[in-house]
Amino acid sequence: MSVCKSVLILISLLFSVSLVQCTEFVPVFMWSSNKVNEKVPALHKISQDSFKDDVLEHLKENPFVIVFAEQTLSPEDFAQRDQKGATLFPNLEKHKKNSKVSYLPYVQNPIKALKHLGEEVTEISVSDVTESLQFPLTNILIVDLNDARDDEHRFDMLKRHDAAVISIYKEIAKKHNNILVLYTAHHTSWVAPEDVVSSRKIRSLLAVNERSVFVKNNYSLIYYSEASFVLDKSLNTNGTAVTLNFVDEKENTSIILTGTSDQLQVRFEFSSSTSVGYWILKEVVATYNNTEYNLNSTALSDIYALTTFSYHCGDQTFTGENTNFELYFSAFQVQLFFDGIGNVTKFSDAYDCVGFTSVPIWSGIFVTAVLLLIMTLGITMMMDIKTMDRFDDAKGKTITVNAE
Amino acid sequence: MSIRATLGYTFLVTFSSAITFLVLYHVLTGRGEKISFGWFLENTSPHLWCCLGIGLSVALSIVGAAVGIYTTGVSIVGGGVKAPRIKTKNLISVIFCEAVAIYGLIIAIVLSGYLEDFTWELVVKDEFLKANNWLAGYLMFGAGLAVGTVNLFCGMAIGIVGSSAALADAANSALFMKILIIEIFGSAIGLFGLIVGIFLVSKVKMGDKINL
Repeated sequence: MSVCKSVLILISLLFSVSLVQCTEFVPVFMWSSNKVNEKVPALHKISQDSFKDDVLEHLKENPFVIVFAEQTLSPEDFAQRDQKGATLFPNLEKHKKNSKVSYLPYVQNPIKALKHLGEEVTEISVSDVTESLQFPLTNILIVDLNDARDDEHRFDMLKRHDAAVISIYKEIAKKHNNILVLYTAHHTSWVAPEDVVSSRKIRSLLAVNERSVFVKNNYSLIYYSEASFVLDKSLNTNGTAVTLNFVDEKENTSIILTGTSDQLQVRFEFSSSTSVGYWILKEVVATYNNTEYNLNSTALSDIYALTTFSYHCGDQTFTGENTNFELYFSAFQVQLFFDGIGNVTKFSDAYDCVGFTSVPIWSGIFVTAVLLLIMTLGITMMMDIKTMDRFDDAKGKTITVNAE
Repeated sequence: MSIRATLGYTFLVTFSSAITFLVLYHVLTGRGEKISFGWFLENTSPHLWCCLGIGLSVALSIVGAAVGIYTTGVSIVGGGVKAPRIKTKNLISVIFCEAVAIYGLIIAIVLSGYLEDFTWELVVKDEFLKANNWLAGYLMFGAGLAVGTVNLFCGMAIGIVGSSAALADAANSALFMKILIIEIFGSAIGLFGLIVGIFLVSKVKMGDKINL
């Protein structure tokens, strides 16, 4: 019986998994240069077969079919707006005003449907499309828009593809006068396929922007981004951006990191003598226009880490108790090697300035645990209350009390 | 399986698996030093410990007294049905339990009197002030916990003895005076807790200005 149940569960699991794998609905945005009667799609989700029939209807006119295939696309991409509020596909939007466009939001495997039509299909990549490319004389041409760059956001990539689609269409429109264009994708945006390399949506970790600096010295690794300083923080002005070059030197048990730019010089002193196995930032001194600002405060005692770990803080501020000078890094990570850096090129795990749990969280957990313990004891005691039934006798005489 | 066993097993399994997972994570990534009780004790406010001590002293004492009173009370009422003469004499057991509750209340009031506010920034920088305020926090927690748990068990003991005393008295009225001696010993241990609590809190100095 239990064997039957487990077999049933296994079969239903496999069925549902296979169901998920083959039902991918991608949008199809198509138009044709001849204005024909466009059929309005009857169903919200269109299966592969009905899409095939639909395309066969269009193919009766013998047009040149060109398909622009993204790696991933979904109806949400068409609705997305960038930071200025403009659509991601301005060229397609403009083109919609000129010709009749038919938009099918959910079509099952359109590329596979086109390949199974029985026509001649050629697949090229968009990076192969140059000015002098002779478009092959097939009936269906699939242009794969698979040239995503590592460091661009998805909407920049979509905008670029949009411009490419329209420019290629205009090129072809000069040569052919009967074209059917489809803009679709191999997979939907929100289900990651296992065997197709999807366009990279995540910025690579080591890609640094112009205002971030990573320096490896003999005894330290330091990374910071967007350093700025204010001479008088009570004035509430914006900080002056600065780029610091760091060099280090070692003196007995401390390492001194000096950051210089043309106007500002900052000196960090890290010491490992306070506690074995740890280093702590002891002193920060900034020199600007020959005046020294001492940036020591009680907050410096929080900047420490084990010697095998690095220290990281987003939003790191150095300010002194008696001055108004403030030095700010929007991201700051440092690791010290008191025995020399050797071949290390990467930071170890970081001690973050914002911990996972803070002291108030732990206090709350402690008090809650005490209260829960008390409640558990109480409930256990209450569940221990039993009715006294030692002298119960179902057949005996009931008790009589003389009430006067 | 009874509900108590189910609850117990669930709690035990969840607790031990969570602890195992956390411990292994810290050991295998070399972050063992991050689990620092010293950091927790040093950074929690003394007010947390003070208020916990005050709460525990009165609450646990009252629980002890309540347990004692209901144990005794049930027996007196039950025995009094057939032997009404016991009811007045046996109220002394109830009074012993009540005394235990009063010890807890006294300590809680004394501790609340010692509780003072202080400005965090000033105290954290000065070592002497910080040491005394933190000491005050721990002293009050210790005193409250000590008095509370002592009175809890004292109350339970007096309750059980008092209940048996009532039933013995109902059976044979000559027994009561001797049994009362056992109850007196039980009450004395409650007094020990009170004495220790008073000794502990005599060293409490809290606030921004502490004179030696």
